[in-house]
Amino acid sequence: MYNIIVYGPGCANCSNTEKLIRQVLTELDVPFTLEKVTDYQAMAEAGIMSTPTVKLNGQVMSKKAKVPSVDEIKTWLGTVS
Amino acid sequence: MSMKLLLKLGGALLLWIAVYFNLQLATDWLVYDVLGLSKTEHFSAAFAFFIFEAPKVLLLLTLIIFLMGVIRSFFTPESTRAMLAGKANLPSHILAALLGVVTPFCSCSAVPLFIGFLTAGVPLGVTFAFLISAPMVNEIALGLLFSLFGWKIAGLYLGMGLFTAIISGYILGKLGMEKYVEAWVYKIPPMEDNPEAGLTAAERVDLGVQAVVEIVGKVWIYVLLGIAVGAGIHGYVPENFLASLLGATWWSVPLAVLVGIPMYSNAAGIIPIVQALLAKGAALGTVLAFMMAVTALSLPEMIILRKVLKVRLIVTFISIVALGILMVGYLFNAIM
Repeated sequence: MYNIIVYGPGCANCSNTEKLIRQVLTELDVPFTLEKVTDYQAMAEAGIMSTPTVKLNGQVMSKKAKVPSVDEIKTWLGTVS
Repeated sequence: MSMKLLLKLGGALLLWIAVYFNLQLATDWLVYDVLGLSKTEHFSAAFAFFIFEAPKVLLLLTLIIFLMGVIRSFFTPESTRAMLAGKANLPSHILAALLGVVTPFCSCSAVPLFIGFLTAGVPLGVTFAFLISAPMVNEIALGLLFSLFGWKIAGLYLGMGLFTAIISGYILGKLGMEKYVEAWVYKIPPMEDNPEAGLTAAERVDLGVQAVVEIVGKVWIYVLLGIAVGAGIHGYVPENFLASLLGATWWSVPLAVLVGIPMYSNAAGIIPIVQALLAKGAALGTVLAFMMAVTALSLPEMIILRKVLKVRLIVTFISIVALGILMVGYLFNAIM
């Protein structure tokens, strides 16, 4: 089970990140939950400074402030199991 | 760095040089030999200009964006924050403005970054110096100005942008406006640093390539438009058409800043406008002030900042940055 949180306001990079992760996981046909956090206060409390930031099972995966590639997402999934 | 990576980089650089320095030959051959256009005709001159200029500018832009992408891989918002925490003196404002140029930053993360800086003890003025410089003097603006107008204008823009960010941040810090930051911001507990493992050389090169794909892939159309505007209006609109309107008159700079502030565009979107203005005799200080006002201040950004700043601080912020831009615009028109 993958629990994913995407932190990001309504910018294009952030929605694209969410869409891509949803697409990859749906194609892999694995169980997952995906939450999008757009509230700045919630982001700040989680210690997020650049968006989009992706958390997978509580671990920060990407802080590069850009949309991840499909391969990157698959690599992330391999790091937790 | 591995041998294979070095060979790849070297090969790419050689290819780049070979193409870049043979563009004039290739253009002349294509336009006058293959297409058989006459050298004296106005249209063929404009056409040849475009055929030569477009790949030249895109090649330069690719090189600059790649180098900046690699440089940026050495910085993260976290490392920048750690460097800036604590000190509120002039050097720290200068450092903040400089870090704004090289730290990866997406304008939509302005607010999280603002909070992250403040809670870690970065002074308000230093935070502003960073937030003013980051969207205004970034790799896209510098890359575009360098490839289209040369290193002098890019360097001037860099210097003026840094100057505005440093001075504005410093003044905002001196005004003691902390009470106009929304109270909840200061109640956020300091964030823990989770440092990322260092990247390998191959990963840095990869980030450079990604930056090229992402940025050049997005801005090429504006670049081509800009060049087409430059080539197209050449000879059709009188050379100094705008000189009387947007030349170095006293009111041209405030007008440019006022028009520029509410506009929302990144550096790429206004390049065609900048190209047209410069080609038709608008004063350089006026045009650069316009570009700075568009990129540094925008209506959507202010609406987002309202979540963490009270109106009074936003108004002060806009006024000081606008005054700074105004000043550099005048200074520029006076010395050029």
